Amino acid sequence: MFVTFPSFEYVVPPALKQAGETRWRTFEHLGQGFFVAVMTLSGDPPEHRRTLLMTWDSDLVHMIESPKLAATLHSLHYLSPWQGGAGESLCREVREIWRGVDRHAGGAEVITFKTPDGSAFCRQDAIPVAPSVQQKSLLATIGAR
Amino acid sequence: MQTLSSGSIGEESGLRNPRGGSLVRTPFAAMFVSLPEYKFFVPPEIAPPDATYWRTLGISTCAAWFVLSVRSREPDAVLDTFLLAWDSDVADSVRSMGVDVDVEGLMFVAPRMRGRKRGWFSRDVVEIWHATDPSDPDSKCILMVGQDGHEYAGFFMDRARGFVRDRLVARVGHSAMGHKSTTAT
Repeated sequence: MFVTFPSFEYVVPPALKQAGETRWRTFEHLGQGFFVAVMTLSGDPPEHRRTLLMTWDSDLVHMIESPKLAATLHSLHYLSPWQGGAGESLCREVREIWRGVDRHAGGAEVITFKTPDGSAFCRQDAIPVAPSVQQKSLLATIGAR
Repeated sequence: MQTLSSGSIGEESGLRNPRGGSLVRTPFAAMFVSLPEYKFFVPPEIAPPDATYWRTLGISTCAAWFVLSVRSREPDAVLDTFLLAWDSDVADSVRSMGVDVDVEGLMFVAPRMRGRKRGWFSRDVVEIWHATDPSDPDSKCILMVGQDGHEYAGFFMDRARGFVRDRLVARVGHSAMGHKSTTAT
């Protein structure tokens, strides 16, 4: 999740922002990773791109499947240096998103993210794709439109 | 949580545009944006005072932003990760952290400005400097040295050429105040 504190806010006159909107100079990220998605919404001019940072893979999928969405133009996944080790952070492009099932987990739904180099991972914390996962449908090819 | 002192944000922000002299940040500079529908409810009993939790945040403009990972040297300290919209806040935050905090990672994410493929690209940063653009000596700025050896500066973290490094703020992977022994060039 993302966390904000009042001192992180950048106060903008109401006339210059959307109703309910709050602007922040910084925030904290709790967790191992998050997604960056550049998208256009239905009815928006093509040049009107929105960039969202999302903490959960399910929210990204929900957005992609929303009828409000016109196109997902670009997506990155950020993985923080591992909490307990001396690893390095990783930021990589997501090219495809797949929905599948894990046969060894009672057919539980699994979302898989594929990168341009062919590697794949699950969830925002980038757990490996279990061999028992069977891909069922391609949810999105990022940047295809 | 909150290794980054909230009071340090922007305390000494230069708020300078390395290309165009003094710059007053406006609502059109990069910032993160929250909307009520992005909120994630966490019971106040288990949340720090005044904290608000979000599932999603937006970015207001196509300017570079930064991911800073720091860890206290206290036993069993976890990694704290902050996203910051302004380079000056990155420098101020790192400088204010003190000797008991290590900067374990810094990355900038910047808009890809060339070519048909639009989106974001990232670079790992190994050093943060206060610097001067020789074409405008009155304009101080933040210069970041990427792991690729190139220098980057400005709203879009463009490749910086010919900038003069004035003062080292920090080397990533070292103590936040580790610059004391290597100040200035």
